[in-house]
Amino acid sequence: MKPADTLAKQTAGTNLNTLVGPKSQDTSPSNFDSSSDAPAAQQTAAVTQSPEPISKAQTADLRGITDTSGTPSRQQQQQPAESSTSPTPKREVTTVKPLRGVRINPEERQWHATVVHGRGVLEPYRHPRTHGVPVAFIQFRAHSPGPIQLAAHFASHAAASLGIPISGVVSLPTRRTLWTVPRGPFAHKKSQENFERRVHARAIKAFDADAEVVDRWVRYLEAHALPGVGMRVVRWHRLPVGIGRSHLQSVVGRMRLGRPTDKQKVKELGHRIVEVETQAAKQSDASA
Amino acid sequence: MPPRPNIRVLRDIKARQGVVDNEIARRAYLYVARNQTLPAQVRYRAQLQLNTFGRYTRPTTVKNRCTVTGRGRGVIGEFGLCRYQFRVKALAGELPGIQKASW
Repeated sequence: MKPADTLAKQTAGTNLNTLVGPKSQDTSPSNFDSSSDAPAAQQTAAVTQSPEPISKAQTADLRGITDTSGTPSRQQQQQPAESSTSPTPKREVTTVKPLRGVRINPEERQWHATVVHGRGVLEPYRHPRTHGVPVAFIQFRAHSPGPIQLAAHFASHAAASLGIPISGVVSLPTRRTLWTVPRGPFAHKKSQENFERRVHARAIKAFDADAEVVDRWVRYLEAHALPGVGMRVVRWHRLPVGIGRSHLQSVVGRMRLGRPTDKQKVKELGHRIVEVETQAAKQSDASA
Repeated sequence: MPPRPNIRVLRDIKARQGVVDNEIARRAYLYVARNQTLPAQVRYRAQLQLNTFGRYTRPTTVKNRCTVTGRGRGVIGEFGLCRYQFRVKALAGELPGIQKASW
């Protein structure tokens, strides 16, 4: 999955620099700045450093953002606000040579700076709905509650990364089918055994996002489906305004309607019918 | 089909095949025989034609049988198994999602 690509598309037009904050302050959790270090060393530093607790200065910068696409600002607020002067022991930075031919995408790096490490463990961020127009409805079904909860959690996080506003995870009622069968192969009806099958269900509703983004989300979920969890997707597609009229026009254009009836032709046809019928009647009289 | 096929299983298979082959003809005659708007004579003849069909063409002859043992009674349709085989497989864990109920 490349959330940064879609995110870049959605946030096209916004200044991504605002997400990170001014470069003079040490804002990014991964200590990523356009400093004098070479890109390779920067990348290695980001990889090998331990995730430090986010300082108050960092949270203050991120809270100032009004555009919420892809920014887990709420999660930032959840973190305990520590003072910027708290001493945090830093590990020794070991330089590791990166893979050959790795190209660093500056947009992706900027987005990475806004990411809260370990957010998979927390509750997923829910983007606010712009219009509340439903776009997709995903239902998960499984025989046990553990994997299904994980699947719904995973889908919610994926939607948060893609900037799709979703409803909360809804627990639909569990369906239980019971069979009671005799234990023995023949007779002995009084001793029986109960078997059941429980189907747990969860549902997520997505709103407002573009069809392409929702496509990507659904394909991602299908590619990383959990074993034992079934997924059903219902999609709503937006049509342009005036679709009914345009449909009608295209259909009417194909039909042979709208020509005015020629009164003269109808009269002539009527006369012909009368003549033919009278002749037929005379012939039948003559034969009878 | 059970490992050692039952004669009853074989008859059931024959019935199923016959039903599939003759369904269209049967439905046509049935429609004519049941249609109130058609003349009575036509309907009567259609009914007589229906009576000529053999037992291996009638859908009522088809019976769900256990796919392992061929038992005709106590068959659970969702699994195609008789009640004892259902229990054996459920306890072995071969039926997905089935567990011993306890509440």
